[in-house]
Amino acid sequence: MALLLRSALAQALTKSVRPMWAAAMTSTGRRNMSSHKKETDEEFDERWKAYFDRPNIDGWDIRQGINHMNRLDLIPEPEIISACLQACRRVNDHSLAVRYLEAIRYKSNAVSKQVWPWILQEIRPTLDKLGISTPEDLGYDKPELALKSVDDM
Amino acid sequence: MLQHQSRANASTVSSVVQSSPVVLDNRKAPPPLDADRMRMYPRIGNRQIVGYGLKGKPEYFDLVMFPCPSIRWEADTPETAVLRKKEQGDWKQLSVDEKKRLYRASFRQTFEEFTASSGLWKWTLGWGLIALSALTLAYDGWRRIAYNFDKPSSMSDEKLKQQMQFHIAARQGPMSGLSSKWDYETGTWKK
Repeated sequence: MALLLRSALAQALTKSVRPMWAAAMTSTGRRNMSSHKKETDEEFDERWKAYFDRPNIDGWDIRQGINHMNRLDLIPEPEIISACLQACRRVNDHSLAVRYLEAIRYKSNAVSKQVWPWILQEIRPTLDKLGISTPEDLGYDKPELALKSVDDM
Repeated sequence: MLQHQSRANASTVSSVVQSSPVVLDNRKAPPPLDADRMRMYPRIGNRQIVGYGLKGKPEYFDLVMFPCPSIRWEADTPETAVLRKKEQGDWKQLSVDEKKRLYRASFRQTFEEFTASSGLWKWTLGWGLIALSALTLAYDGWRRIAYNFDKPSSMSDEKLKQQMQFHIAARQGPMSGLSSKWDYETGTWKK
């Protein structure tokens, strides 16, 4: 579910990465204080992948999904990212794909500098197949235009 | 506006292509209403509504929490209409400049740009130091004006001359100071 990585070595060895707090939790077992069932990580991934894999998804739903997932306390799995990028391809919106990658890049850099290169490496096949440029390819890993901030107007 | 109606209008395929950057010219008569112009909302012009955004309103925003705003940043000009047609094909055929042009048509600033530091601390520090020095100068000026006393009587020229004669008579500074420059035999300054 959450992609909090501990070390580069760990990410190179294993594909499925557990969040840091799960290590402490699994030792005592997952206890539900409430009565409803807690979703597992796989169910979460499947749900989001199914959401983006719909063949007739439109730009409205993609944007809803991106905005919603951005608010959750996690970085999406590379499979979900690939599904979303393919959805962007279906609606013919390349800028939306770049924006999505930028959002993930910003969020992952807040965690650690090692996350973003790993994510890029995992979704590289999708990027090459669809022809999507990463923010670095477009030169958007550094500011390009010095526009006035909205707060200063 | 009802959400389902705005969603039905937010078609990603057809958008109003405007030919000039100025949408409404106040000097001319208002244009007649037609179907395309009725899609032109007063606040957003000919820009395409593409999503829900923050609260369902067709407003543009650049926020870290919500990457996708509800409208595109620019309306489609004939040049961008050509690029959008090319975008429906293979994206590998798009050059980097075309992709950047498409991005800027949909978004105002990149993530790096609207999260860049504003450098406000320089202004704060500079104006703080200027204010501090201005206060110091004002305080000193006030003291000079308000507390401007007369000089004591012993600072007049005659009294200072007499004081110097007393110093020489008392042999003050005989080695390298005042009295060393006075010639006591002749009673004048040494040549």
